[in-house]
Amino acid sequence: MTTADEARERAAEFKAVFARVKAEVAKMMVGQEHVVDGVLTAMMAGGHVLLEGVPGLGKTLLVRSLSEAVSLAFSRIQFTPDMMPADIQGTMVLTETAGGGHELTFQQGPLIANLILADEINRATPKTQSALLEAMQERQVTVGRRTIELEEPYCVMATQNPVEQEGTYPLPEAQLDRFLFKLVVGYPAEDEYHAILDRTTGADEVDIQPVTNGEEIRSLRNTVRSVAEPEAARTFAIRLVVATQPDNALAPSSVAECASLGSSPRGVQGLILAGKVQALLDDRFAVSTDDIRAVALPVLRHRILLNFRAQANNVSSDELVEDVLKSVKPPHAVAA
Amino acid sequence: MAERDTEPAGIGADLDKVVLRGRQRLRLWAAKEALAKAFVHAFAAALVVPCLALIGNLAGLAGPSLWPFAPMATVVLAVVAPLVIVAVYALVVILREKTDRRVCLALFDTLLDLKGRLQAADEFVSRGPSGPFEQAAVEDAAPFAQRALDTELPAVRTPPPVLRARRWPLGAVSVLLLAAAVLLGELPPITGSSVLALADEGAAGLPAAAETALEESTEPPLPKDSSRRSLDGQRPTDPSQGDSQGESERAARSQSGTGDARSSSAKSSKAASLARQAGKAAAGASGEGSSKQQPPRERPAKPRKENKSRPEETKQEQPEASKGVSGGTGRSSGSRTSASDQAAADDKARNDEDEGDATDDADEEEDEEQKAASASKPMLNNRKAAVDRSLSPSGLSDQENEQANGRGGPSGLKKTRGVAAMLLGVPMPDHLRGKSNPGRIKVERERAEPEPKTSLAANAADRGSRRESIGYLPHPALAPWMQETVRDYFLAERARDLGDLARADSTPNTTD
Repeated sequence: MTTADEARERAAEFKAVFARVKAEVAKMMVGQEHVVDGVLTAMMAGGHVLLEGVPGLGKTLLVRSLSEAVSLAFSRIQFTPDMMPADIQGTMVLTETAGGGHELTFQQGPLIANLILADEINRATPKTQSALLEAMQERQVTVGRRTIELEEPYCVMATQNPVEQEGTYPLPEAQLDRFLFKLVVGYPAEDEYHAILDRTTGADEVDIQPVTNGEEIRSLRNTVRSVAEPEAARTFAIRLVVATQPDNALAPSSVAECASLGSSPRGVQGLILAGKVQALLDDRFAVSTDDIRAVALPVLRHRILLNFRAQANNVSSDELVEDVLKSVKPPHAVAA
Repeated sequence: MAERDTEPAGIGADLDKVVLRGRQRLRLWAAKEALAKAFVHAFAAALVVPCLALIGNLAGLAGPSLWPFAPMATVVLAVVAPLVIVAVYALVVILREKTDRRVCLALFDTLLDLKGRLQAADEFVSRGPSGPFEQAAVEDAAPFAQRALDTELPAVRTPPPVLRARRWPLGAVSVLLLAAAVLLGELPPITGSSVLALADEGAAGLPAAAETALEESTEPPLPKDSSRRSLDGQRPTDPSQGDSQGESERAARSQSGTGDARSSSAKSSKAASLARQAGKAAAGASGEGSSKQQPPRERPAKPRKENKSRPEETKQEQPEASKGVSGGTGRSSGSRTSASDQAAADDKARNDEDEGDATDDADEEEDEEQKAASASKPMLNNRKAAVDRSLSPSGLSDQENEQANGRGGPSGLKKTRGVAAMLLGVPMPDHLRGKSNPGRIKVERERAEPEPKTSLAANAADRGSRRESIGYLPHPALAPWMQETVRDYFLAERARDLGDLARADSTPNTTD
């Protein structure tokens, strides 16, 4: 077997597992195909996902279904305003020993798992939200003098409601930057409501079977990272990211006027990794500028901090990303 | 997944062929684009030859022509030159076009929607595939490279020429210039002596002057000093004398502050005034009938000004003028007949008319004085009254702002400043009628005697002691076993820091 054949096999395996997981999730989740694809892409690329949508659209259901399909350690954290960092990281608790004695032992928080559903993450205080920073970036939790390495695959999937702003705390930029994707969950189409009613109001129960495990997902993540990245795709991703920075010469006028902060280097990493997943799904072994373009919106939309002018003019970060995509041309591009 | 029957070694040659094909296509495309863009410069280029021909022919009026081409050749040049310039521009653009190898491959990637397969494969081939996925990418691109070679490329459409409406008048201008240049080239050259002769003839006989010019056009041009003399109608007999006179005249003109152009205009106006006086004299000689049939006289534009600026010339002209007038009078007196009363009435009417002329001349003199004063005080002539900046409410009248100069607006409504300006010209009284405040506050005082109040305070000693249990009160301090546990925990932690981790972990922190 040549090296190229090995690559082909790994790519085929990746695509097959991806399709299996997607099919299992689709048993429960009706529609929202781009959201499902985004969540799976982020999980395969090794990133975290922020799901934003109004209540009742199946954000929590999606993550819960995914946890059942991938056979990973799953924990759900319902964020509340009175939650403290120790509630999710863990703390020392006094326990009684078998001999009748007592001892202080470390009680792990729900953050220590493989797949984390951080539900309504913006309802917790920034103090508690900050407890996620170390876990999301460095894959470890430090409590006191104890540092706990988190097991791979580790994926945080957070949800937030953009409408109810009363009693919520917007996520700090440092935490937003740690999410690979921000996916906006919209309303289902009219014909999808029938399937939703069939699956939720009927007597039949949907049974989701695990189709993969953590070991396989770790292997698939290595496959993703092995995808070749040509210079053109890399240059295009870098140009896209620097074009979101308002002081950069590549930034379009709308970004210069309406953005106060642009994407960090994490944005380039996210573009390339997510683009590699897209290339594998498209039966290619090298990422292209089209792949970068396809994932630019979910990767960059939450990394652009809008200023007061943008808020006053009702300019969204999605529009700024669209402007960036229009203004930045791929290298060596020709108009056919 | 891609086909695997293609040899990866052969993809390099295929990619080279694809690059060659793409480069040819891009050069053709660039050439057409360059030609289309070059039309922008065609109109400007069309001006070059007509301008040069016009300048050359204009210069040839006073001497040998600087434009060596015949009119037909000029027209041909004017047509060919823009085409040549456009072609050279396009050629320069094409030669400067350096088509990159990756751009050639990107052309086929875009045309065939290959998602960058050819570019990636070419990059990996050039540096040598370093991993399984790069090798697979190269092999994957092989059938697509063959497909790029086999695919018939769509024809490159010729872009429409870039024509900007702003530049279209340049074409019309170039045609006009070309026509003017050709017409000027057809005219015989006019020497300086012929021009001077034209001025010498003055208003007396323009056709004769033209004939003289045509006659003298063959003669060599005269020296400058002689031509300057001929303007005054006097030919210098001695060149040295003429030089000295010319020097003195130039000095006098420079003292009076007039330039050459002004003096030449003065000369022409002087000739016109002489002609007018001669005509007046002729009218006096012809009698009443001729004076009545005379159309209204046309006065020269500004004769007085020239007279004031050049007093010595006025003195020279004065005897001639008076001679002409008196000669006319003498002739009229000599022809006095029985209808002398009627002639006297006509003379009176003529004198009245002359008086009217004198009044007009006086008004003009005043204007000239004012203009002369404006030379020393340039802003005095245009001085106007200052803008009314009073803050009083205005705009209540319907009159327009006569001093409207852009500062206060065309009407009086906007002149007012301050609070009154905010009232938008609505007349309002200075103060409102009615009660502006509640008025005076009436304060009434009453005398009230203090009344004693009974106190309900109880004596502390009468409360008594507690008779029932107070309930469970937690002690702030921990229980002893709790204190022991915490102390042991921190001792264990400290021991672990000291390096005795194994013993600290094995020893349970328990208390009985």
